[in-house]
Amino acid sequence: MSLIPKRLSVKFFTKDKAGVELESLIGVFQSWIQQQAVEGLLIDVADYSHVFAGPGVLLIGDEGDYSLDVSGGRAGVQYTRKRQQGHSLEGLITTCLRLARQAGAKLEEDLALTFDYSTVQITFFDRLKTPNTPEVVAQLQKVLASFFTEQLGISEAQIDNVTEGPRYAPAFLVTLPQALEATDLQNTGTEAIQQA
Amino acid sequence: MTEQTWKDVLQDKMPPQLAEEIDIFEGQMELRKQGKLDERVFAEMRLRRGAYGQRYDNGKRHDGIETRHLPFPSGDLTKGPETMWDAPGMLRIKIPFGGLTTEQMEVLAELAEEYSDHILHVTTRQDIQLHYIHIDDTPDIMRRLAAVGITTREACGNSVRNVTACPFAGVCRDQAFDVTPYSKATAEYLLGHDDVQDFGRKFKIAFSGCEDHACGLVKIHDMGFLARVKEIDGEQKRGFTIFVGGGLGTVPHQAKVLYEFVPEEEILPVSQAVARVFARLGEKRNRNRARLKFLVAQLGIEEFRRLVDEERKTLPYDERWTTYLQDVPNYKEAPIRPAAALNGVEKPEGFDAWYASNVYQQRQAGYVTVTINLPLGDLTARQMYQLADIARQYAGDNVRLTVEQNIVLRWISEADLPNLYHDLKAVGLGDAGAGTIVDITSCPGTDTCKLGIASSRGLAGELRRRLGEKNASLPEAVKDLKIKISGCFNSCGQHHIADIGLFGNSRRAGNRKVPHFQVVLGGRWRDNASSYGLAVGAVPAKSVPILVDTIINRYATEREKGESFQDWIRRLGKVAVREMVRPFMNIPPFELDPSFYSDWGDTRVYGIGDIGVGECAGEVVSLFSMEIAKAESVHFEALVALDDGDYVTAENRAYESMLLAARALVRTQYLDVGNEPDDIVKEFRTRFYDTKLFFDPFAKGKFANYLLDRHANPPDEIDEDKAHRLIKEARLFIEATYTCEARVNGVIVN
Ligand code: SF4
Repeated sequence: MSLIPKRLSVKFFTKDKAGVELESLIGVFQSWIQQQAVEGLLIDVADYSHVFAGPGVLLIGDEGDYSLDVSGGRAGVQYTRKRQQGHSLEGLITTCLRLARQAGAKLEEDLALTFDYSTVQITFFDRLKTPNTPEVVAQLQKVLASFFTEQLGISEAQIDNVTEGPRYAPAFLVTLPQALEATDLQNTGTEAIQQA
Repeated sequence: MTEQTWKDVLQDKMPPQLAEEIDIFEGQMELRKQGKLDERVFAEMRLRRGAYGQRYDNGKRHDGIETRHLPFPSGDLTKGPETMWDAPGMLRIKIPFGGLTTEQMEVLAELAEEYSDHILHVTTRQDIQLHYIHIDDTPDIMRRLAAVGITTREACGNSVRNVTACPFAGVCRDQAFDVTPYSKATAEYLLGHDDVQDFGRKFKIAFSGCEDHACGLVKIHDMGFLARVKEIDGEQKRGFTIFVGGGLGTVPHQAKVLYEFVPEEEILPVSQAVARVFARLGEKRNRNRARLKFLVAQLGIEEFRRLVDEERKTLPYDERWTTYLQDVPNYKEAPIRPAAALNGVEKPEGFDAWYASNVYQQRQAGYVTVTINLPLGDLTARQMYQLADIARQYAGDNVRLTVEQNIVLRWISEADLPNLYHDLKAVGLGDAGAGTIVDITSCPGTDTCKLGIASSRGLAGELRRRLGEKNASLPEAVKDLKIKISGCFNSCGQHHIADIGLFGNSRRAGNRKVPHFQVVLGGRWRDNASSYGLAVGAVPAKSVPILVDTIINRYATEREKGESFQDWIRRLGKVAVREMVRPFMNIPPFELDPSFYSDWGDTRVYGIGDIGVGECAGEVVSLFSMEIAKAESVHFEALVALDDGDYVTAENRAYESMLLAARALVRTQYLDVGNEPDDIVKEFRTRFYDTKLFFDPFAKGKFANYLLDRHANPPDEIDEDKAHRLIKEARLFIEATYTCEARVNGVIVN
């Protein structure tokens, strides 16, 4: 069974202790649609700032969603790939990292937020292909380890399984020796989303 | 090696009937992709499977500066008129009487994570909605739901929608009896029933256990059942007062009493008879007048009753009318914790306020029902998992969704309340104020609805925030007022039956549009929604919060002792009420205050260019078109089986497709043909073969013989050739069916 999940989320947490004014994201994401400021076919903005520790505010796209996510009680910029996952898990991870990283940089410009690019949470949402079983979790952890070492050339990446319980989607916290730079994620063999 | 699919994994877990229906729908999707199924027919098929359109699915969106084309990857492929294939849509999941098990809650949470945006939305019909769904994902979602006994069938479209019931049924102190098993039986009986397939519009049913409280809202339904116990021949007999022709929408109608008392064994046949009258005489072309309420108003209740009586007499007997009644006396919910009083238990901070608004004393001593007050009807997938855990610990499978977009946990032992409150608080589900002024109902509005004119959710969020902040200091008199908001006149947010109702519209100021809300005051939620409010004027969306403050403050200070909000509004009179609203109607020039020209929760400059064609009304497609589409998908399955080398299945499916096509044709003349192959073939022969109606000018009866021969002589052995031949013959038979129907009955309704 392929390990390419239905949805893959990549999240960089904020450094800002004061918390994020979620409502301000609505205007920012609307302006991203106007300016086509990030990759992908951008459709709409969904505001869930009223729910507790939820998806926050999302910029809904066709291939993937950008969001300022507050799930787990920690705010962060997140990219979730929903469609056009490509043919390799490594390619998919790179795409998600790259787009989350770019969105983070853009939010830093637009809202004076700051993100920690040396810690990233990666979650696999697919109970069929990547169910939360010890074997699959071990396999995913292995793929992530080799991805960071071989694809990105970061040998000291620490990968912790942070899956909360048997029924939750497999999630990993990757701690890197230094912040991921946008340039680290270029030329890694992934195709950019075809710009609409 | 081919990868496993959800279909493989869940094959043995799904009820076969549901599994087959989902396969058929998947086949229809494939046919649509190949351009072999008309987009209108597919749209109605899709709607009847609960897959609904969403705003911007016509591939256009105004971004505040200009209208942009959304170039979806599937290009021009549509899933309905002006509805792009790839555009995100909504999936409505029917939860009859709102009843959920903990296992179902977990599956719903999984689906929200894997296919939606991690949000589960509870609707005013006790459904769950997932938004931003891709149509390609819907068959797998449906399979995963089917595996835990949930269907999306007929959640949208012109059919019987989710059957709702009072969420306190069975535990209510005022009920005549528990309506749960009756609502369940009605939902099951009418689901997919032949007699509910040919409506011009949707059909809503509700059950209430008593007359005085609002919970079931039977008077705003196409058909409402109010529990009654009547003494007949010295025996206490259960039954219902049946109402028909109620409805909100643009033109609200109070339901009329069809029968004062219908004994329990008659409620299903009476429902069926009403459905038949509606299917036969209800408006089909003008969707604005196609709900049952218009038919009842047009005919008058006496004539409508006479027609139902006549219809009832001709119904072929169905044992399911009464079989469920054997189980009714045994229908019981089991608490998982022993009953115990709250006495002396230490209460956490905030407990008392929560207890006052969110806890209901059940008729069963020592037990309470707890309402979870969901903001705008939303909860996250994570919260749904956590709530399933909490339910397992305190309530078991006794969980229900409410028509006020909340969730209730029933059979909570009172002594557990402090711990339960603590646990709910920890996962963000411990908000007080359930059923009070802060617990605002809202439809999706411009967030996702194609017909939305103003942001009902944006406004509801803002009012909830503002009222929530001062909840503690609000005068007691206003705390129980209801605020309900719709994004347009269609009233999905039930604004007509709120103390303060609001529905979205727009007004022009110079060359610009300004989002507005029409204010509707004095509707009555109590007494099963017994009266509707008065529209008193439209105010800019941005002025609504201060207007609401004004109204509630004036009511709190001006009301006479014990005077209800409705009575106060009536006492003030239309002129004075209008005067109260008038100062808030002004629109400042854009240059002075541009905020008025954007809606709540949306920073774009407001416009109405994004309003699309709604799918609430479904597509008006003839019954034949719907049924022949099923034949098409089964024929498609035959082709797939042939490709897979499964010749037996291929041959059987080809035969089945001819039967379905013949049935579709027969049902244009004779609705009660049933599903037995012998009956279908017999009726087809006498009505279309013997009469030569089916005959082709050149081939004569040749195509009909494909079905008649196969039916009379099923093959002993099936090989590739035989399968292949029958598939070809089935194709010709289906084509001949189309031609015959067009010749006999005229073309598909446009
Ligand atoms: S009331 Fe209008 S905006 Fe709200 S869901 Fe219904 S049709 Fe859409």
